[in-house]
Amino acid sequence: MPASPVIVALELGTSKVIALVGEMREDQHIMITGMGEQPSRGISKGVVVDIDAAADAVKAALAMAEESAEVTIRQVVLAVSGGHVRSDVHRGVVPVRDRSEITRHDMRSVMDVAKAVNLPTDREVLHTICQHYCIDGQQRVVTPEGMEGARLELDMLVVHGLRSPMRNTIKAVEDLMIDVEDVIYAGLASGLSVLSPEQKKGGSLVIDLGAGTTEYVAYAGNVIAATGALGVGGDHVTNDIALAFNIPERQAERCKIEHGGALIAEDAEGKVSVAPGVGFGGRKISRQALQTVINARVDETLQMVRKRLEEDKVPPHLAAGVVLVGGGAHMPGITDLAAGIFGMPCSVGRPRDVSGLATATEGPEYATCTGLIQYACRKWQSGRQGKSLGGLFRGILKR
Amino acid sequence: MQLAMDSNDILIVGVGGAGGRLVAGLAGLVPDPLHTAVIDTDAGALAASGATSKLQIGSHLTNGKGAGGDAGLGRRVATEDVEMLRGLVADAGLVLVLAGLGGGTGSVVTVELLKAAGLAGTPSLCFATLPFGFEGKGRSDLARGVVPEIREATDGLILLPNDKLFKSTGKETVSEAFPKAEQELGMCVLALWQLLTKPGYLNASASDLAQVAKPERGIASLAWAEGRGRRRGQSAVKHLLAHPMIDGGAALAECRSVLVSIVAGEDLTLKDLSDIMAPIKAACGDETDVTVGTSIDPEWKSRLLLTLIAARPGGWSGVAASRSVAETAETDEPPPLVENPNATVRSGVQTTLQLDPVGRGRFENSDPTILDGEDLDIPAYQRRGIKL
Repeated sequence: MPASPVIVALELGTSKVIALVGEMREDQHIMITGMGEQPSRGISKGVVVDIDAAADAVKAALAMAEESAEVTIRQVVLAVSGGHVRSDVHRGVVPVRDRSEITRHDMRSVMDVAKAVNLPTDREVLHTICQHYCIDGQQRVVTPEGMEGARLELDMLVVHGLRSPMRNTIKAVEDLMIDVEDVIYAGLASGLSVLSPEQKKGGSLVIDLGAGTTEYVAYAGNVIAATGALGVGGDHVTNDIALAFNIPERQAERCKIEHGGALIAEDAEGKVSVAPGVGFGGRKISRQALQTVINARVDETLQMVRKRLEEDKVPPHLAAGVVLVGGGAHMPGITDLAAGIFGMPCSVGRPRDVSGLATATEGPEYATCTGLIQYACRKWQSGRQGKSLGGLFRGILKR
Repeated sequence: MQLAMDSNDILIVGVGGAGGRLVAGLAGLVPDPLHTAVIDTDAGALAASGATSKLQIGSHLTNGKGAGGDAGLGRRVATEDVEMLRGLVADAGLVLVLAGLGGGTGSVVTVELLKAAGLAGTPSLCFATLPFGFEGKGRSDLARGVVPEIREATDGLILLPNDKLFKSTGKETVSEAFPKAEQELGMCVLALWQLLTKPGYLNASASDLAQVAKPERGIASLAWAEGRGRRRGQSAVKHLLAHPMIDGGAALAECRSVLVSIVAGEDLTLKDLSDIMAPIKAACGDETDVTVGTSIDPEWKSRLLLTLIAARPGGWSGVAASRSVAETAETDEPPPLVENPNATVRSGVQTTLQLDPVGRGRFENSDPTILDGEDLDIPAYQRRGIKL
């Protein structure tokens, strides 16, 4: 199979804007050939609040990526996020047309029925993902075509979010005369990037601990069972520290990175010193108090994810456990905390089947962007093979 | 006999942080669906309330936060969104407004809402709490400042000083006293609501209510007492007449009219009625009109709730009529405030008792992240009550 065209993935994160340039090689391997990274401006909780400032940061990140990959960027695949994204399962039911053998036509019509969701006017569908078919009550049929039955049902996962924040993210990019080729929900992209086929089959939960948002995607029985986001992230941890100890935000961020921990260590004694800064003379704070503040926030965030999954009726035990990605995954003790909360093994995820630039292929914070490239490559591939029948998401997201 | 009002005709509106809390508390008290609305500048407080309609006003002026005791801000907000207020009350048959005076939203928006009701031709009754003495002169001046405006705008005003509201609940801790006082006040409002929607054999109409609380008759106050068991009538009336809100029954003699509402089960007897009314008649002067309304509700078997509204020409202790009128005659603009205008009005009857508020830091000016009624931008350790 020939290599895919060059694909540029772009993520407007709350703390940084990342642009990755990559392509899929003959052996299905993703090669990252360039990257650009800039501190974000004008983005809060995953949502663009100042479109000009955000566009400036995007422009700088893309320029960096162009230089390092030696390409000219005209179009990108864009990740969208925000605490407003949620998913629901919708079931479509149709009678089989000729009362016996199920045809493509039946499959298409059940898909149309399942997709027809009634959302509030301010929301928009981001993705519709087939979960499984059901023929005359027989559950979990994967390919119903050619099978016999009178009634065909399909469970469809509909991912949706608020229209205006998503449109503004796209607009910040399009204002730079860059085409947005495709829009993918960041949580799904992270899952695509870090999970192996075995993990998807066994069931797994990927949590992306970003600065502004916490996204999650749960796989159960080889399909995406639920996905969504909370508008809470690492910035909240920093803010809590700044408020608790009355120190400037910059110092709080440093404290979090240098001394932070998700668990309250029993032997956490002594003080940590906060470096002086502009208008701030520096001081010492108790290590235990620092960990207490961080633990309260991170514990709460993960508990909320767990509650969401319960609401979305995701099975409580997923054999392949919890995989953490995003900048928050670097925090010491975070895997132990998550393992305790979810009652499953927990590890830090790294982008899979990716090579090239070392930084971009190893860090959990690049999971979303590498996932975007994988998504776009596979979409390109399945388009070439002419896989029809809603093949897009089935082909790409199920595997 | 007058027909009962349809419960959908009576709109109960909570204004500002305290009013919203009161309205939210009503929902659990009666099985019937209530037609309620909450008006606030604070999106977070609104999201948490279970009211039928939620009106967020002045969102662009306050960024979706509370007016934070800033009356000037509250006034700008209310005048900007006056059309929304009018739309809310236009279709109602009677508006019951609950508000905590002394805050930015509660004080000023209440006036605008009542004016809107007046213009729409909808009768209104206003229940307003006055701030605690210890909340400082700024708040109490602001509250007293709007009282004359409210008196002008509404058909009936009932003033409830927090100092007295809480005297009646004894020596509980703050966390017990607030919900209890709110619940009692909510009960009284509901008793009146029941009186109008489910009248018994003796009925009092909305106009009777408005008559007794009419601003020209003085300052109206509200007292209540519950009785249970065999001698429920006697014990309830004893407590009612000793209620701090009406300075102990003695002052009733000065009142020109008194309304007594009795909510009771089907087992209410004539003897109960005379047990209740005889002491009240005795406490009132010969000149006083006493109106009695009953509401029979099977839920209230073997217990009863008495609610009394009386307007005293000279005002009650803590709410002197003369002072509030004199003081505010020249005050067009509300007096300057002591409080930090950035403090958000979130919940509780008044916010001053919120201990050690830390705020929202860098998220101060962003849209709040509300999940299950909790503002997630406030530090987690603080919401969880963890001591550092």
